[in-house]
Amino acid sequence: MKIKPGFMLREIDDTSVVVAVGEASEHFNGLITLNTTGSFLWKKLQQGATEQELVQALCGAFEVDPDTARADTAEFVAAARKAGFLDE
Amino acid sequence: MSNHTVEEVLRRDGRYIATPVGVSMWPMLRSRTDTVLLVPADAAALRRGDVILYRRPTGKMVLHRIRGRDAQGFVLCGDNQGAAEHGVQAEWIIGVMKGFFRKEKYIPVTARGYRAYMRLVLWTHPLRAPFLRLRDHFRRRKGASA
Repeated sequence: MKIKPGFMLREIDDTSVVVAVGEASEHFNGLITLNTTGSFLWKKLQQGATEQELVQALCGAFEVDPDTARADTAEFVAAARKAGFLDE
Repeated sequence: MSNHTVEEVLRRDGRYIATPVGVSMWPMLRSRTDTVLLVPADAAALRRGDVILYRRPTGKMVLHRIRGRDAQGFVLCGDNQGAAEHGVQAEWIIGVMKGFFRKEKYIPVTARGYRAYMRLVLWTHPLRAPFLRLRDHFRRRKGASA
């Protein structure tokens, strides 16, 4: 699972947003704001992490129990999939 | 994740990042490649050289540079355009550019290199404008005959 080419994470101070460039911007002209966890997961997805790896990374980086991490990850991945950000 | 309009995000977060489309701000901004950081604009505080995002009454959003002001309102022009747009009203203005990403590098409008570029664009525009207008004229004719 990986973020499709053309979707970029831009970070300014404490804000992370996803913007589309190149061909991707022809079909997507919105703006997606990510919180800290979302930004973290996005970067992992850019490297091509599996959902299980995302859960593990989340547990390692944040003080969160595995069940919450699993639920948060599933929610994030579902939203990213629905928005068309994922290459699977 | 949340999805909102430019105005909503600027009101809520005080900033907006967008990917401009078109060549009017070339070479600073490359179409669908570079991204700009916008913040809410105070029309009274805007100055010559500022790059603003505004919405024409037709609904079209435009990102151009302020060349000045006259009795009709702001005078705007893209860096790569010959003809200026007059009569841009303060209430059309959505935001002002605070910086831009050229690929991965963020360049604030306070950067020395950017300030030098901005001055160069403003100072040389009267010299470049006739050639740019001529080029735009032939492009339009070519487009009309295509």
